[in-house]
Amino acid sequence: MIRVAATMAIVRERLRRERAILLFTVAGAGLIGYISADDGAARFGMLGFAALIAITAALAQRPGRMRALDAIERAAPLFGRELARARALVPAAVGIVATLAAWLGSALAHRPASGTDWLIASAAAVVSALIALSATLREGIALAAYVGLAMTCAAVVFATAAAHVRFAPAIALFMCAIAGYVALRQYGELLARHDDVG
Amino acid sequence: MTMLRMRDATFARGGEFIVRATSLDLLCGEHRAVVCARANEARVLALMACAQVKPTTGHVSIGAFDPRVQPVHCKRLVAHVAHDVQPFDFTSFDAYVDFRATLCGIDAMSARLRAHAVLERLSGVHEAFAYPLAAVLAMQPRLLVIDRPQRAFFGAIRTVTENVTLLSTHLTHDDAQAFTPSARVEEVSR
Repeated sequence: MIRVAATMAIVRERLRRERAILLFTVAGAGLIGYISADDGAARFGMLGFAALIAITAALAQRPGRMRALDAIERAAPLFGRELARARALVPAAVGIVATLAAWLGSALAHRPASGTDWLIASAAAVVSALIALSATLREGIALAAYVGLAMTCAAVVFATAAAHVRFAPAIALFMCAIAGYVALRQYGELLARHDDVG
Repeated sequence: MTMLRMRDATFARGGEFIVRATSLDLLCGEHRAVVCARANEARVLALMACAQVKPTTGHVSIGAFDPRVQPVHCKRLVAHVAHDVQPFDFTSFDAYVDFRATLCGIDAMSARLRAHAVLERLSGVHEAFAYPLAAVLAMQPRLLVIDRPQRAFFGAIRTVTENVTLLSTHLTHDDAQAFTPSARVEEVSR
């Protein structure tokens, strides 16, 4: 049984420790949104920046950065998938808030991106964060490969959404759902198998 | 009833054994001190006894559960107090206990009461060590594993761990004997 209280407690504690970084990155995303030019490429660039913030937030969940919290979570009677969901919510929330900040920044400059753009950018940020989470339990080339995959995935989602085909945004969102599901499962299994001995 | 059973349990990392074949049986209510050759071995052995690290070879069972198959069931029975002092980055001791209680699915208010009762008995123990110990005892574990407790706090720790099954790791025979004078001391991979 998945315990919502445990999940929310982990998310709250992790976000509390990252609040300063969160504030600066969100402010940065808002600024990028405000100063970006009024064309399609700049708009996707601005929203892609939010995906990069989500990837950075995912990499910040690496074991060892918050040792006390890691130790408590590791000792708690939680399944790997429960812990994975809780930890995944942190960069996902950062990604969504950063995308929203970028969107609000562009709206303040009277060049608001469409709601669909914001939805796709949020989905791309979340899925790239989920893929990047697996990098936190890897070393060397595997780590770089996961980060590269996360960035590629965000780029593919934006390219699909911008393609001149029918239902392009819907196809992009469907891709995000599939990739996100697989990435989260993969992270949960990695977390369950991971022996953190420092 | 056996609370912890290890049969030739090893842990290897990077082609090197950190924990060599270890066998022990710990009965409910028993206190046992294990002497290890190296600090890393003591740390990993303690984590293995808490289902936080899975053995590379051999077998470990906690209660009636296998940590490889049922790690969550095992973690409901065991608590671990680490040797390393972690920075305390919670807003208060109550917030710390609440967080641990929420993760363990235990009523936070009852846990707070128990934690404060233990903390009172640990007066004189530095809070970096007293807080984790009081918090884990508030979760009412069946087995408590303490990794290399500090000699200065042996007396205080003994007073709060009288009624719990206890496994402690040490680096010297003297420490082990001083920590659990009436208990069995076992040496691992000397």
